[in-house]
Amino acid sequence: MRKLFLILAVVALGAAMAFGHPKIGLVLATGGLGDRSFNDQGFWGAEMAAEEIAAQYGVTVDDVLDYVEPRSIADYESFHREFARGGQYDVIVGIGFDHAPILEEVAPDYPDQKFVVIDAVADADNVASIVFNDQETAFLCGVVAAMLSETNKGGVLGGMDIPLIRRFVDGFTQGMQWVDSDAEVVVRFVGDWGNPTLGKELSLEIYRAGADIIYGAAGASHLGTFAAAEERDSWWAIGTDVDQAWSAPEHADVIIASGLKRVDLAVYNEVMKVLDGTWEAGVIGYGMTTPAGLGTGIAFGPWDVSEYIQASYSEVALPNNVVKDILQKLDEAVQGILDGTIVIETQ
Amino acid sequence: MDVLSLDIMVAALRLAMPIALVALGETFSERSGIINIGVEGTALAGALIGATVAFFSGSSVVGLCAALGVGMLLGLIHAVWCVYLRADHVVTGAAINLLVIGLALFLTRVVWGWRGTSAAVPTLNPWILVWGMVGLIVLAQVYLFRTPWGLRLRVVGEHPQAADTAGINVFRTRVAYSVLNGALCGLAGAFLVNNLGRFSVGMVGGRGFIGIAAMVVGNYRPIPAFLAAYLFGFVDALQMRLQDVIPSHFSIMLPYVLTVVVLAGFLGRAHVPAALGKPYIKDQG
Repeated sequence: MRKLFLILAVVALGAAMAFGHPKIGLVLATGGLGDRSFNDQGFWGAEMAAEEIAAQYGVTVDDVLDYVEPRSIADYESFHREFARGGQYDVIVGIGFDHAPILEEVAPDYPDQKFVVIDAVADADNVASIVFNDQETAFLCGVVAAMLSETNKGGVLGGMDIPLIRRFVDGFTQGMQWVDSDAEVVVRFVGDWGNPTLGKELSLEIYRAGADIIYGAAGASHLGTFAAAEERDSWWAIGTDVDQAWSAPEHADVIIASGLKRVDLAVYNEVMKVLDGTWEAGVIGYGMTTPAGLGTGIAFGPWDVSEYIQASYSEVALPNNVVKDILQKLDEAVQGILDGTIVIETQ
Repeated sequence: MDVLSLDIMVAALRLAMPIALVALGETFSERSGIINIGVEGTALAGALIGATVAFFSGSSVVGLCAALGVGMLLGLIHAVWCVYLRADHVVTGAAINLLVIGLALFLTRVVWGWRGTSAAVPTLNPWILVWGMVGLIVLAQVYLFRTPWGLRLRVVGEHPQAADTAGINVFRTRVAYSVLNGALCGLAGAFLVNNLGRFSVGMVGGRGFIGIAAMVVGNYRPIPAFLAAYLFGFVDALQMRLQDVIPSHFSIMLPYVLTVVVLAGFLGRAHVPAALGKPYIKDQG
């Protein structure tokens, strides 16, 4: 009798596994969803993959995708362990550079679990580390800033002074100086990815210091940059990661362009690679000059020029010839980056 | 460097505003004997509900009233728990903080489809609120130390038995000032929304807790508490201007380091109301 139960149990378990659908575990960054930028985009990538899986297996997206929004970095480890412990997730994705050191601790404890981390390299055998050439995106944003700035001074609002954000600063500065070697950049850091109140105050300080166009690289904090830009007609802002004139439409009248970073594509690709069995651990680069050849770019102007210069929802009224000049300069910059005549130095 | 400009004074006032309002509310509350660490969450709730109501009503004034209303409601809940049910004040306050964060993530998702942030909402000039607050603080100082009602409030926090004997209703007094505290925190949240033009779950960002610190530094007095809040705001505005000179890793710490240092100096000397955090039970002691 007991043997019969055992056989039944094994059969039942086997059936459950055969009919089970793949699952994705997603751990977001502390800025949380609703930054209309980095985190939201990472989420869309996972959602896109989950929708495909859900349609294939006849289940709902909620069955496939489980996500958590840590309120502090201290929560990361327990969330990753929680997802990994049951072994029921085909892949666990950590959105944000600060997941890397935690995954280096956690991943070796679950050698069969596949992990993905965005924006930093985690040195472990079962982690795929996605790194973007943010300096390329920032360079293009710097080109736009230099073409439009009347004070010849741009600004960057960073979330924290870390190598990742320094890539934004370096790229932006060199982009501005590529257009005009006298251009200056004012840099300020919030110290928080989720506080737009402070972001606004720091942006006002950057404008006060003489910049008239600010590139936000601070997650939800740089929503405050857009609010600050609204206060003067001569102040503009550049969004980050997605076309923020679209994701924060009430500020489309001040967001002149947005740097693009296809976090969604990277997350989607990793999940799909897990499903079709081609997933590998290691470092995967995205950007114009990487083997992938995509993932960075800019949203500016009314139409798509190339896969790196895409149309924006910006409602800033610019004369046609100005838009044309900028698009031409952007195209020149893209060609320069692609053929190696423009080399962007990063620390 | 033009550090001591009018500009930095103004920026400091903006940064000090939510801290000062929370400090004022907490002063009233703790003077009556109720600790409320839920001020952080109450301010966030004021911002959340204020933004939501302003969004749907299309009126910033209606939103402001809603922010005051939700603050008062949370103050009332806290008071009922602490005064009548004799719950631990700190635990109830912490519960409010957690509750509001969950509510904010849920409500923003349902209303705007983005977790954590709202769309743009109608606003009024935040400076109206700033000057209103400055007036309020002077009034509060007079009220607390120059009127019979202020005296009654202080007695309730110092010696509730004596107050009860003198015919002051200890329970009702505590509830009333806890509700007032909630209203002021709600106002702090409303200011943040009017300043930014939208709600964001991180917009209070610990300023509520700094408000409690400002109250202690101000020794439970409205004007000194305001000055403490202003000092914090000033150093925060200062560090933003110093980031060219000092690495941001250090400059961002400055206002917090200052808070710790000043608190360490004042904590021992502050006059804490004798019955603070203790439930009043009739017929005992």
